[in-house]
Amino acid sequence: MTHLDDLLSAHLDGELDSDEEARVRSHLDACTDCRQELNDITKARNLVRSLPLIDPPPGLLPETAAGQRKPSWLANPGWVGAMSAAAVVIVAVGGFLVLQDDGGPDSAAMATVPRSITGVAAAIPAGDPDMTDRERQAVVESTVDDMGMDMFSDPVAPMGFVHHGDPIAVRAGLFNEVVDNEEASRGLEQMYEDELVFGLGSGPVVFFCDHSWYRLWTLGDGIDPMDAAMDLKAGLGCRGQ
Amino acid sequence: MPNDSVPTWEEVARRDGRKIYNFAYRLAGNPADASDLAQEVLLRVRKGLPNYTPGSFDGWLWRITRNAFLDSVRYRQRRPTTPLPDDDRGVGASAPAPDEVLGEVRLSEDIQAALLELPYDFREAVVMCDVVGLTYEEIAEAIEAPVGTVRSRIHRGRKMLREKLS
Repeated sequence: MTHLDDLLSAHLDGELDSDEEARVRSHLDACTDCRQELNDITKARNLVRSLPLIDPPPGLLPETAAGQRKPSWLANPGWVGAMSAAAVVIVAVGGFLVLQDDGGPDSAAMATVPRSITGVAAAIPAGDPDMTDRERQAVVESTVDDMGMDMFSDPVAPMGFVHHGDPIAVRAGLFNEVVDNEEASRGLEQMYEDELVFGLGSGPVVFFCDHSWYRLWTLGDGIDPMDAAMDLKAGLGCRGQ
Repeated sequence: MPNDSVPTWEEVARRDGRKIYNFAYRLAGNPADASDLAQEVLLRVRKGLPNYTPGSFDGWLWRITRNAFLDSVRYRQRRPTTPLPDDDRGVGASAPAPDEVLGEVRLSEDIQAALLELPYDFREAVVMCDVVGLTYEEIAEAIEAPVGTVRSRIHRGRKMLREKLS
């Protein structure tokens, strides 16, 4: 007698068509071995399905990020209108800065949106000529607070209002002076190649921005972040801290 | 999700982020790798959405998820690492056995440890089916294999699990 084998799991999961299902049921009525195997895999399946769903760490996903509260400047119709479909940065997810469309239907406009943190600076005051630099700084800082990030309060990266070319944040203490982010990002990539992990990991983290995405590099194991900093500084001709 | 509906990045993150995290957690067995993978997947989704052609969104999403996981495995194989301290509930073989184990009731640590002992292809199929809740067809699309292969891997994976947990 040919036993059911793979058909048993498909039967258990309701993945058989009616003809196969009829054949399986008929076979099970007559075959003790297959009934036993069905019993076994049912237990295995139920055990796996009994595993609890684990909540991701706070901030990893949008619903757990603090950035759901809209900053006050989002309610300003003057500059929002002037921005048209420009994207604004409103949410951070576990270290991601998310460029989000303002809700308009033309998401193709995303292609023209500045895709760096200078985009924050560019987007915020675009239609609001009355906003002072101090106000803009407050907006950026409050936005960052909303994001649940402390890049501006990090003692190794004293940051205020972000200008083009500013270092974004340096949790590993890589920079404490203005560098060109794109150049630094490229330099780091060239020096460490596959020893940089794209994504926010649990190791020392380097933030860069460029015009495609925020680069959240995690240094590979065995790389001392200060060594990397010195290498990069030397490569970029930076002054010492 | 309807075939002609393309969600936004935020919708994907909110709707599927927890499942992606759990998929990674059950495959990798630790929260640090699960977080890294979930973030990597969401980045890839964010980058890929503008070029997404309406079709089976779940198949597309889980293909990205699977590929991201395999990429991370390949990276770690090239660069062996020292595991970070695990702040979870003792996932792994070193977890102490509890004093009270009643009949068929298994602690999740035992099940997780058994899952991690499965060869990758079988573990992946079982997790996609029984943790994520994908259909066989969706799994087949994600792993780019015939439905018959999915059926076989799930069944053999369950049999192996049953033996390990006996």
